[in-house]
Amino acid sequence: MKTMMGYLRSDGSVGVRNHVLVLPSVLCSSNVARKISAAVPGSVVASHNQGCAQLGDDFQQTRRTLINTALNPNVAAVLVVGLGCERVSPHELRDVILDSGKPAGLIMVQDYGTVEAVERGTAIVRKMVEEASKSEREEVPLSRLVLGMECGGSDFSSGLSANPVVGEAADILWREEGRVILSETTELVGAEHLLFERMKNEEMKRRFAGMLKRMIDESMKNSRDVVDKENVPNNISPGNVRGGLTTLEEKSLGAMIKGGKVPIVGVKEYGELIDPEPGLYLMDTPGYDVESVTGMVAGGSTVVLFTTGQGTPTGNAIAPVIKITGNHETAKKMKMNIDFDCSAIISGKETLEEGGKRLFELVLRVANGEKTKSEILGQDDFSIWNVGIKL
Amino acid sequence: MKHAILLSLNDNVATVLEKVDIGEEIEVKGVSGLQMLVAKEEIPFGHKVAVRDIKRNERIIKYNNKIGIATSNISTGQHVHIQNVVSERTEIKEGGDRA
Repeated sequence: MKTMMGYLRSDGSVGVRNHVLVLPSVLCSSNVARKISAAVPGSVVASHNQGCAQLGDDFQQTRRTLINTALNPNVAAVLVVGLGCERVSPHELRDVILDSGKPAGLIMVQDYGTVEAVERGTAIVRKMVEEASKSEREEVPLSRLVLGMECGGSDFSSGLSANPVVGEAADILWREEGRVILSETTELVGAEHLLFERMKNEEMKRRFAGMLKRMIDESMKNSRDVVDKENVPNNISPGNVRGGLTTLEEKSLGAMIKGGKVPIVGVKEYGELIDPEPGLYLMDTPGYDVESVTGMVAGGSTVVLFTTGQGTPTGNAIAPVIKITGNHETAKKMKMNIDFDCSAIISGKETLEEGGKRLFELVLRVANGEKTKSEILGQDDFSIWNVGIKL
Repeated sequence: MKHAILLSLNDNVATVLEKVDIGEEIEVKGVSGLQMLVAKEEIPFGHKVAVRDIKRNERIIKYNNKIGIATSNISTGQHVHIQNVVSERTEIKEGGDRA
């Protein structure tokens, strides 16, 4: 059994980071939250644009994502920063976090005004960082690791090298009985029948079919470009065909391969917590990178593997994001952003299996504490997928 | 000699990593080692070449998964693309049934 050095939480989950999180419940308190976090090195902030003037499923999605982000095992303690009149209840946020056994505090901007709220919040967070810093990493089974798989800024190299290498890493973690999240519903359309075949029960298939239908219906409200005349998503362009992609199955498989051959054990809403069962979880997210990663981290991902052909600086507020490219030019040009260059697979100097092993060694080092490029550069990206109108 | 990559053991197509001309040798690097074949047609960069003979109506396998169906017999070394492959994908039905 392989092991890693992680932070064992009171609920049995394992974090690979030990962040004190400053969490605004609403856009209106986000500025105050950022000021508090900026005053205390060692804290992170999940600044966002949601939390009020939202309805129904859209409101529930924001609420769920905020709660589950706070519950992510990479987070040691949380200060919730509320405004006072918002729809998301900051008191509920704090109480749910406390119920999970994690230290949590609350400061309401309407109780003190900006300057005093920042002062009081800073004092609370300073104390939380002091306490959190006393935790030590301990040896835990690697099965506690949860990888989130993402691709963005894809090019010819993604489907050939970076995505299959990430799939190899998924298979390695699966052999250790770990968990993997695959997202980006828009990127799965076209090969969904292959995913249906990997699902073990009808309930899972029903949920996944509903997820695909909802995405297609919503897209069609804005544009008919994603579907052809028979309302079948037709996301393969003349440029794709010139580049060597023959069918929509092939295009979507190039993205889907990030989940390797891991059995699908769950289908989850955006930001919904995954289950304890080892395997692959599909999560309904847009292909929009930061929103997709935010959803998977709320779902429980503690490390994110992000493939990119053209390069992108994206990180996450609480999870290390490992940037992987199969494009050697990108690896050179964006050296400060790219953690892993797998272009040797394309030049024939490395096999996928070798690349997968090499990547997994990096995953392990990052899980054990080595910082990723996005962490070093302070890329604290966080954005909640908004699916409804704002009132 | 040109190069191609086989992404999975069960795949019957490999992706060429540079433009290949008719009659050129291709070294296919896969999970289990190397295979040599000769290109029967010109194959553009990033496109697929058959690594074994594929019969009409047989599935094209890449990434260890089916990506379409052969519309004609394809022999080892031939270019595999829209001229000899069609998509199998169908409309989404509730419960995952295929139309």
